[in-house]
Amino acid sequence: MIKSLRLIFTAILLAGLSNIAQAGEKKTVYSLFWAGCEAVCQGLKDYIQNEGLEIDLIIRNVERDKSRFSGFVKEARALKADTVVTWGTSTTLGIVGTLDDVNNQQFINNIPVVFTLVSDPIRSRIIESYEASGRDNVTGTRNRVPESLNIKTMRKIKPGFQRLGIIYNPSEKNSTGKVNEIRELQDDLDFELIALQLDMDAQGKPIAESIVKRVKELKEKRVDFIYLGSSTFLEQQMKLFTAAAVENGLPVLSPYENLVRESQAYLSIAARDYDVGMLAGEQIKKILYEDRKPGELSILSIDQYAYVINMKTAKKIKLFPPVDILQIAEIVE
Amino acid sequence: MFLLWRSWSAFTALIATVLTALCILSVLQHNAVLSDLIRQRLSVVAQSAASPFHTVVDLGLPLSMMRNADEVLKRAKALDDNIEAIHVFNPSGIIAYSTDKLQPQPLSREELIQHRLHNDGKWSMETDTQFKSYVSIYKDNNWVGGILAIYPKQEFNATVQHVSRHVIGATGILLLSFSLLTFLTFRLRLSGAIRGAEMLQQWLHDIQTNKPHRSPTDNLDQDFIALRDHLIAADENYRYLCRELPVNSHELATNRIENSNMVAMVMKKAGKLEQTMTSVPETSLARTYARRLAPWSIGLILLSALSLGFITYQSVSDSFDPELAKRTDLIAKVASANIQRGVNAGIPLENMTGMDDYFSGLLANFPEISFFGVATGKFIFKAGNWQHSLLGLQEKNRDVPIYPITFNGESTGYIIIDPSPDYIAVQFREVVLDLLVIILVVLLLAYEIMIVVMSLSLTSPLNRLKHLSELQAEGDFSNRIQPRRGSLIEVLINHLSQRVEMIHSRYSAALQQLEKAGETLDLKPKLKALAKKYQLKKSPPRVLTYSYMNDVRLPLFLFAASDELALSFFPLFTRAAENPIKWLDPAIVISLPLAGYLLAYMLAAPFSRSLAERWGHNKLVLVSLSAVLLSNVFMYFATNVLEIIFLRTVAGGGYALAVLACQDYVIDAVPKNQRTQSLGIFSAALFGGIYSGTALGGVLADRFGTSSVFMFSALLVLISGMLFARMIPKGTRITSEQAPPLTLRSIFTPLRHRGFLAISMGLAVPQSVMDQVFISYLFSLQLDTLDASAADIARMLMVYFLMIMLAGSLLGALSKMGVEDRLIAILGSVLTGGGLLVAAAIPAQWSMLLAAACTGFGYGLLRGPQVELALKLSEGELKHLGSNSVLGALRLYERVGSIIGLLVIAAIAGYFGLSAAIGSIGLLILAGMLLFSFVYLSENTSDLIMKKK
Repeated sequence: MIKSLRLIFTAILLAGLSNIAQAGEKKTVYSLFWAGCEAVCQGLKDYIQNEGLEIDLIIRNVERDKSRFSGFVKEARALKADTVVTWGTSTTLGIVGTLDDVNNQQFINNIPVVFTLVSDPIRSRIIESYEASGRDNVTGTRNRVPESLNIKTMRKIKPGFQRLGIIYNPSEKNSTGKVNEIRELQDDLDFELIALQLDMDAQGKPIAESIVKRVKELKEKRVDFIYLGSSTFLEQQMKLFTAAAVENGLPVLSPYENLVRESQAYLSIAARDYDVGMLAGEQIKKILYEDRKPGELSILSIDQYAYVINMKTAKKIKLFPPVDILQIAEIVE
Repeated sequence: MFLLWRSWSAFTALIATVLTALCILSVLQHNAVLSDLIRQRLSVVAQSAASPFHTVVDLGLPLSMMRNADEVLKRAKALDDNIEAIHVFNPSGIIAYSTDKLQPQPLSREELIQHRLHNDGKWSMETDTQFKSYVSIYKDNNWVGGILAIYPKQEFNATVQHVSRHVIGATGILLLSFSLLTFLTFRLRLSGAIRGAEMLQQWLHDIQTNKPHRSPTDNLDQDFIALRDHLIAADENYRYLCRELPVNSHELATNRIENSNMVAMVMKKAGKLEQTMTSVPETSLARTYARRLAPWSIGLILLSALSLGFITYQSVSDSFDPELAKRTDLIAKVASANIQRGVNAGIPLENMTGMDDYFSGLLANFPEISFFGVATGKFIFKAGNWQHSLLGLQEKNRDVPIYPITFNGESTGYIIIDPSPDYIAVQFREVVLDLLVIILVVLLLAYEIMIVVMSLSLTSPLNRLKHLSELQAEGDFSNRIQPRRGSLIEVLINHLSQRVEMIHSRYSAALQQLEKAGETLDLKPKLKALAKKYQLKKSPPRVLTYSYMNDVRLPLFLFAASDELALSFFPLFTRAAENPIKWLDPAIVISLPLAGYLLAYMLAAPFSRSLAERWGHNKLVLVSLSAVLLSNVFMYFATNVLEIIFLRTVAGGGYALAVLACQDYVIDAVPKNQRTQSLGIFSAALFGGIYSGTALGGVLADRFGTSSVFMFSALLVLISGMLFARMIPKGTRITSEQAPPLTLRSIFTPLRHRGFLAISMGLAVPQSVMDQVFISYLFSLQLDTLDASAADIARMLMVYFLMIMLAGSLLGALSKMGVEDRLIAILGSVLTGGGLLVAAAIPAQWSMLLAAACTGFGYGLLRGPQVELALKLSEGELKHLGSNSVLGALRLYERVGSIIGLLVIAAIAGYFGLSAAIGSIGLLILAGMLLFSFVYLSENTSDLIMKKK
């Protein structure tokens, strides 16, 4: 009897010590950002610091080069990363693949992955649903409002709204996916979508100068609004893109708030990227410190969005938001 | 002068009661309205805070996902420095955003339930320290949350205190003034009575000092001369009997018995004696003085009430004016703040978009504003109706409120608002109407109290004195009256009663002596003749207690009021309670308490008369009231629908027995030739109470909460019970006959009689359907479809009750003019049916008001004759069944008919519409009238009618 009790006590002690040891161990989080550390990255860093998590955050810049993904996969494995964080659709697809790649060794299948800023992970076939990814090692965050909300807002601002223009980057799966998604809303929401593709170079990369041409074409086609849709390329080219729109008197609705605050986009209905980083931190904490499996976690959604209007742009294109939108919007100059 | 002092002090107490009641109710009403106005103003803030969230939700963003919600709430809070906090809550009551940085508590269940009870999504509440205003937010008809704005009550409390002081001060001054006026009035009007009282004083003194009565009769009213003559004749008979009957040993021992000792002794003895109740017609003496005083009394009460009402109205207006102005100003501030926000963002005023939608929304939400305009020297935007005829818009010519819009410190334009004069007029009209309703309620109460006061202090003692003196003048020494302490008249009555006691004592002694001597009365022819002539018996004299119609008026009024206090909010009260009957449609659940009430009424009604026969009216009423009292007390604690159904059912049974016992008392208390008139007065008192309870219930619920109203009801029931116990004499009727027992068979047998069939199916059932189905069910539904407000519906309903009272009061006059009961019944039916047909043919608010007036008046005319005709049957062709069965059957069929009628008419309403349903009732009534006319106007009806002698 006493011997059994002794054995039980020892087992408990060992398990406790193991947990303490584990808890004391520094975790490695390997993060990949398409164009370097920005607001999401900062949010993630601050979360880790504020929560006092013992995490070694490794930050990698993809430099918009998809060919580097395989190297990152290898490095993550070599470093024995405890979790990987990805930024955007392209990066996520490059690291975890689609639902068909669950057993594909080219991608990370056995290290927890938290994706961020993926505009439509279901349509991109990264996950099955927002309630559960359907993949043991994948979870992530959501930060987009329903597209119908964007359409209704445009109609509120321009009551005669009929035509919506989108310029898309065919090399970004999220960009083409977003166009398809918007196209499906035409009948229900009674508008016409004019989608124009960017010109591509020989390497299959989009040509920035074609942005101006496409905007002019949209003007000729008498669109009422331009919607950015989902494109990291266009986001990176925000100055060129929004300037062209303003020159042609066309308002741009952007899902990225920085285009309104830092450039000349007219309106955004978006979450702060910084908050997205914080949300990713929450997921990481659940995986690493609460022993949760990524596949069991729902895709965490941002719960705070804001309407942001650039009043300078409004004055330039002489499109002023109505009184009830003014009541809810944050105004920037 | 005792009569003057007694009447004056009683009447002063009455005026004090009237003015105090009016003062309290007026202040309560003022507080209710002011509270409502402040909550409406707070609602402006809540609605203003809700507007951005409505926009967000309409666009598709969830309520709790608005990043700058705190900023939005802060802007709303800045509209009024006094606002304590503004919260955004979700359907579970959890606070999503708040201006209060300390974590606010979630909303309570009681608060959240209100959302279901207010279809327009706006409601408010009041606690001891705060006002709270709520606005719901919906997305595709789903409730997604709401806004709560909180405001402190300090300002309200200060205003209330100020108004209360003013009104109380005015009440005191008016009381003193009218008390003095009353004294002067009574001094003039009662001069005859005063002289009469002096004559009686002299008479008593003469009798007590054994002197012959010699007071002169000039300057005395005829009635007092007649009374004096009766007293002299009574005295002569008494002295004769004293001479003829030997002195007994008790008299010898005491020699002279003090009046007060005798009273005490007799009162002690009276407790052991049999008491019998008798009805006595009002004497001309009492009627004369009642007539002299009544109009002046009513006039003084009315004048005092209206004076206080006028002063109260002034205070109320002074209190409301600033509040209405604040609300208008706040709405304007909201509008200008939002426009200013756009201008601050750099949007030129001329380029502001969306103003159409925005200001249209404001006009829809705030009907007190008829016009919004934005101007820069000329109008650049207008919404609503501009009521002024200004050609230009120079600042100096404007006489409407304006709110400047600035940019970089310079004026760039202004917002103009035009308050709606109609809206403000309507608000004050509501105040006046509410005050008038309260004044009317208080006057009705005062009238009932006045009747009782006059009866107790003047007419009843005079009636009793006259009756007893007449009996003794005629040589009837077999009756004495229950002794009471009191005024000169009570002393006189006691004195006459003592004499009866004394005579019987001597007669008993004489009989005892005969027995001792072994002789019988037959051997003493003189003694025997004396006994026969003066109605002397071996047994003690009978103690008479008088029953009057007026005995039950005031307690009935209070009791009826108590039953109606909860009427206005009872369905809401039921709906807010926990509902364990989940499987039943909520609309049906809400109707179950009423169904229980009606069912209990139906089952209890047939047995009222036979129970009154067995127990006495007094006992039956008190037992019934006890049940109602307990049901109200427990209702205060009820939280569950099942409890409410049970308690309301108990109340229904108790109410039925109590009211019908009162009706039976009236039937038994008054002489037959006054029955119709008295039943009319009974209806007037009953419906006066119903009207008053309905009118007051809403005010009390608003100030003290719905549950507390049940305690008020219990209190009124208690007071009415105490009055019943005091005023309804105990004992059986002097004219009671051995009534046949009430059986199931005897309930159905009367239907075979054409006369009874004509009354029950031709009059009672159709009228009951009208009362229960049209008034209680269709009336408010139809008016709602005609866009009448809840307040207007309530007021029109009160017209119905008022008309019943008026008609009931006029019945006496019609009876005296010789109009037969059957003709009155026909007239009542024609009015009722005709009014309904007009309302059915022309659906409009005015026709519904006409219908309320006609049905009320017709029903009021008809109620008394209907019962009277049934009683005549029970005394004539249906004598073998007796009044218990006949009246019991009538009451049963009335109730059963109303329940069946409710189901049928509801079906008609469902299939063919409300107007068709109303018309159906009208046709039913007229068809019933034709049936009744056919039976009662045909040649062979003399045996049914029992013509007046």
